[in-house]
Amino acid sequence: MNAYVIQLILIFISLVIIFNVIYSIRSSLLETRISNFSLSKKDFDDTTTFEKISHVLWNLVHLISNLLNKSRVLMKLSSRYEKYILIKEEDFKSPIDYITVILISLILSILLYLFLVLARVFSFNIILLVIFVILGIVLPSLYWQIRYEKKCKNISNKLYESIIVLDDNISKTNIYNALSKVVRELDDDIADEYQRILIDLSYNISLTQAFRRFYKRTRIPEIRVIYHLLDIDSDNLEDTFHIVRSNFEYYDKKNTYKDSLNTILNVIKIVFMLLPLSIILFMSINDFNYFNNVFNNVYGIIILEVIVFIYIVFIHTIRKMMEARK
Amino acid sequence: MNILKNIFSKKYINKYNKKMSYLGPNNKLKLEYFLVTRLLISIFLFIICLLVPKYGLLLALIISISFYYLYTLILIDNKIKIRSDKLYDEAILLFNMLKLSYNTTKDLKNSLDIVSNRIGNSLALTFRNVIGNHKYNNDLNEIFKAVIDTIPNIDVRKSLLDLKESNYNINTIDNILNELKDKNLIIVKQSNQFKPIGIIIIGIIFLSIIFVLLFNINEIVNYLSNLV
Repeated sequence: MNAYVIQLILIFISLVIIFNVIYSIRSSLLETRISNFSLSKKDFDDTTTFEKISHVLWNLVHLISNLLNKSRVLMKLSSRYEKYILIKEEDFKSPIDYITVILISLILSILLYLFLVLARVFSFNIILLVIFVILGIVLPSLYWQIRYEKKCKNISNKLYESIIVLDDNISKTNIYNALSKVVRELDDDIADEYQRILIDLSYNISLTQAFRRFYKRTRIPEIRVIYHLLDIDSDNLEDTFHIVRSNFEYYDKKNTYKDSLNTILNVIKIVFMLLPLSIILFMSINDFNYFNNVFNNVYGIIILEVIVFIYIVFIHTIRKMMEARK
Repeated sequence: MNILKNIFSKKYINKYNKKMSYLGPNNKLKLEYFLVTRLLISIFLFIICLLVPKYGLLLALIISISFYYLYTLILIDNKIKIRSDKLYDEAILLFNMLKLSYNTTKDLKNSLDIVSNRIGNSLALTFRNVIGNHKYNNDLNEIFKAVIDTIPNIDVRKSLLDLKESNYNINTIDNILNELKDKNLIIVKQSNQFKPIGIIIIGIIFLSIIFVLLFNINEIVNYLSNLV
């Protein structure tokens, strides 16, 4: 009976999504037809359906986090999640929301554990409960951290372009216009960070300190060079940014040399990583009972663990060797 | 140092003193500790391996000598290599900052003092320590000589010598920077060439171990369960 209810809810949600998509397609078709005849273009709502859903969810989270706002310890803890918020998301996200999400996931994981125990998937065990609790706390922050590191990689790839724009514009205009030009010219991630620098400058923080804060957020080692050079001479920005640009040219060349062999190395790496797995597959297809003796014996499981350990060490050493010398 | 003078010759101690200075200002390893422990442990290993019957002498010679060289390789030579690789970027940053600060101060010692206090890498730290020791001495030659003695990287040492011998003419820095950047790019390119061979050799060693275990897994399990 319970499964029947869950199925009905899922069907209802998917029907709502399909209806919304069809509705948006119809409205966009109408928009193109009408816009040819209208003098002033109307401001149509730009938010997509999935964005709307995420807004509603974050608003629900925000309602719960109003309760947590009172405690001073949680507010201090939440300051570490401040870097995950983009500037355009600041209207509906606040750092305390991240702690409420962690709390919700913790409660959900405990409920899932209790449900699995009641459904007799496995019997009650304290170690398993501890594992579920740890997973509930760690998994959301791990997801955010991985996404943030991807963003940092994106920024470090686009950093050289931003320096070129700054260096070319700094001789014509002042620093504010040059920074806002970077925001206009480049894409989301790096534009977001430069917008943060502009906000810092509006709070009377010096340019050196603004770049220092930029380094502390993203931990990209090349940004350190910028603020060290600005620290020495922040009056004559034209000369400083010229030297910064020549330095970045050198880093860019170095990176191209580092990546020159990567295509060959990646092929070798993939072949080496997949060989043991493919041989295990081949052996088990060839003889179904080959691994029967292994799984039923204590020593067999120990040897399998040893093999997995050797395999992990092997992958780790290959990854270490792929990194180029500094 | 008194303990060392009773055991080792003066020439030997000087040789290792120079190597220890290459390790940089963040080094915590002491010369006495390193030399005495290496000697004592290798003698201890030699005595233990002699107790093995039949091949005792051969084993003792091989193990003690290989320990002697591996100990220096891991504790000193490897660290020197890592530091000398990093010195290129550190030197490029330091020279750039020197060039910028010279425009306002017009005095190389003053600008060295400013620059070395702003950054925390090993080259700047050595400059900071040496300038602290020569506080009332305005002779730049002594400062540069003391710094050059602690640098393992040939190219960085050459560039500092160049600056010193050209009577601290600031225009040489542009030349130095270009040379350092070109040399570092060549080294990065060279290190890439041997990488596929190294990866293939390590891959074959690891894969052979895994395959031997996988193909004979049933025999190993039977052997182990019969033993106990």
